[in-house]
Amino acid sequence: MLQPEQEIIYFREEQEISRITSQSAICSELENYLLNEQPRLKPGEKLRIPLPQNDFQYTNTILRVEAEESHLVCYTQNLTYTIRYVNLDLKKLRGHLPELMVLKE
Amino acid sequence: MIKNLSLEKIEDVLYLLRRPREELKYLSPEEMVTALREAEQKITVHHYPLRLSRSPSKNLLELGEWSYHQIYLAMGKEIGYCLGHGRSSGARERHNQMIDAFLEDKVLQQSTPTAVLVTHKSLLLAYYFHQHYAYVAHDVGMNWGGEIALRLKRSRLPCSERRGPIFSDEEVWFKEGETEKLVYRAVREDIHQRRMEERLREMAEGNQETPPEKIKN
Repeated sequence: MLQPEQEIIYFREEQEISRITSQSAICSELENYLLNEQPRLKPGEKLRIPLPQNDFQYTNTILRVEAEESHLVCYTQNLTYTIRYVNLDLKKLRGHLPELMVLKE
Repeated sequence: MIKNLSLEKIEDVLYLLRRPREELKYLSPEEMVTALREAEQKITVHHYPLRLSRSPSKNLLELGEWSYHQIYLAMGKEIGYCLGHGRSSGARERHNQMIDAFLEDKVLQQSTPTAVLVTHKSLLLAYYFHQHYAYVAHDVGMNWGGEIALRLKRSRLPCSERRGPIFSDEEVWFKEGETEKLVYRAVREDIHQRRMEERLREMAEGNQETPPEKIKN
């Protein structure tokens, strides 16, 4: 799925917590999530953090999403998660979604 | 070798569980349900490890992520597996998603046998087979929705569960209707502990027979 030198790296409050590389053995369902669903994450949804051996952990509900050139920054009530897409075209993966999305009260 | 396996025999179930994880194919719950419907042979394994280990396991028998794992195995052209446990929200969701899929499919319930295994590292301590589907009764509804617990209660599907406090005598039970079967009971008692308990018992019995006033006299 990921080509060599492509990576998806997860940070919680600037600390790296998970990393998917071309060497990571992941199932087709997770592959689909990483490339098609996660870049289009919207406020009100929960982010899935991949764990080793096809496991994953949900975050709390995302309240705000900010998309930068190669980063997706997701805010829950208490924590900030940053997803860094290395050598992946985040803009293309996100399609026409706005750069800033906030959960409406 | 794989073709001659029978998943109604403990040796063959252990053979599959001892295969390196790279030889098996991990499937998502949706893929697993399809694989189970098409499989030549299938089984669900309730795996209760007595020793927890956070390091990645080489095979499914050595799993020590949580106090229970419910593993699904489907044998077709390749061997697919899916598992749920209680350590992560994703694993709890998978556990419930698979139970939910079985609740909806009576044919799958009838055609999928269950093996309950109690292990220490990769050593098998006890096992019990049930002819049809049963679920692990922990974390039901977690990361899925509480109403599944009510549907399970109504379905009267058999289940297994772990009882007893951690670091004490532990038990694994299998429940089918009103019948309960003890699969495993861990007894942990060394000489020091036994002597202490005997002394406490003697003191308690002594206190009952001889009231404190009498001892003073």
